[in-house]
Amino acid sequence: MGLMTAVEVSATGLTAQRRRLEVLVSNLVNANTTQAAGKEPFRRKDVVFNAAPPEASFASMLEDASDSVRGVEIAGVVTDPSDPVKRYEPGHPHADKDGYVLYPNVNPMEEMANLMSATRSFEANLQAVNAAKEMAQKSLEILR
Amino acid sequence: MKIGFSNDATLEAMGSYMNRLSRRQQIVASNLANIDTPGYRASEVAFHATLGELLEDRGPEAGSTRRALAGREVPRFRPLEAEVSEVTDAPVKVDGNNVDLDREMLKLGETAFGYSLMSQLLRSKFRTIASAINEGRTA
Amino acid sequence: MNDLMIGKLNPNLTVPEIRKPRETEKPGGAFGDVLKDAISTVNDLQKQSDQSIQNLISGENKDIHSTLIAVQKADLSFQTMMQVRNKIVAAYQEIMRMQV
Repeated sequence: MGLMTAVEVSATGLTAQRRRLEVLVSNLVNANTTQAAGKEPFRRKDVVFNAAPPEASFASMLEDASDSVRGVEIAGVVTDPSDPVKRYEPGHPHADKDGYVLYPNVNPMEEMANLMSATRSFEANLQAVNAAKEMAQKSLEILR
Repeated sequence: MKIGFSNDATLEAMGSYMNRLSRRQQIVASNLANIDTPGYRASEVAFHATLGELLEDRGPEAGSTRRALAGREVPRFRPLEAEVSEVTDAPVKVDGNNVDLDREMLKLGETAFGYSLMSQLLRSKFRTIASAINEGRTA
Repeated sequence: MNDLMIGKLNPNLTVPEIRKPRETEKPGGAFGDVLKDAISTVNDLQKQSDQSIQNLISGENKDIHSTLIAVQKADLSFQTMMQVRNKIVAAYQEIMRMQV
């Protein structure tokens, strides 16, 4: 049924955004963690989105398929390769021989903005699920 | 949902339109799911449709009782698939994605409402037909 | 006795033609008319209702309420006609049952 396919597609969006939220939260939580000198500091991570047809969908079972109907999947989680932030803190237990401490390449402001965007996207997909559910219920009323 | 039993163009058109709205919902869902996918280009299904876009009319000969009795049953109206087109007038973001959240949310509301309305109107139409069958008897 | 002007009788007089009855009464007479009018109105309203729905779908008509009203009118007039028909049939049956 067409509307069920729509719900599946939206469900992929919910899953993907939720995963993205997890990664962003992890970035934020580790924004100020440091490691002993010589060890790699925490590096921020990102998710990679990819469009993909919804799996095991009703669409493929009925002749309802269309190339334009695609959900989303997380193709992978990648590490941001940019350099860690160097701060001059000679008294810090993790400072190196020059007195620099390596901090994660996380910009809390940016992560917050990403977090809000992910939340908004999640909400939008949720609304899509509700709309499809409402439509499916309305179609039952034809028989009433 | 293929109704296909009547020669009532409007009835068939309404069924076809509901299929179209269903497809529209799938496309909006796809756009929203891919709102952060780099390079993704949004598609859309138009909300309105003319009779010609909804149904293929095989002419009054098709769907006639005579043919049905002769064993050559062919419904007169065939519902047509909705056309899915690329969105061309939305700004493209840096990552190549052009899904506009506000527009899609608007389409969501529109589609759900249209579907609801059609279901109401269909119910009304079916009620009329039912009372004709029941010859106005309420028992 | 002046009325009896026998002398003035015209020998060419023929028996007046039997007056043809008024145009053949439609079967059912007045009942038929009532039903026919009802059906015609119902038909028109149905067509208007259908057209209104099509216009709504195509976007030509932007008012939902006018379509809803048209659909309700059509349904209502149909129900009315059905009741009229039922009453007529009942009346007819009643008449048929009358002992002559």
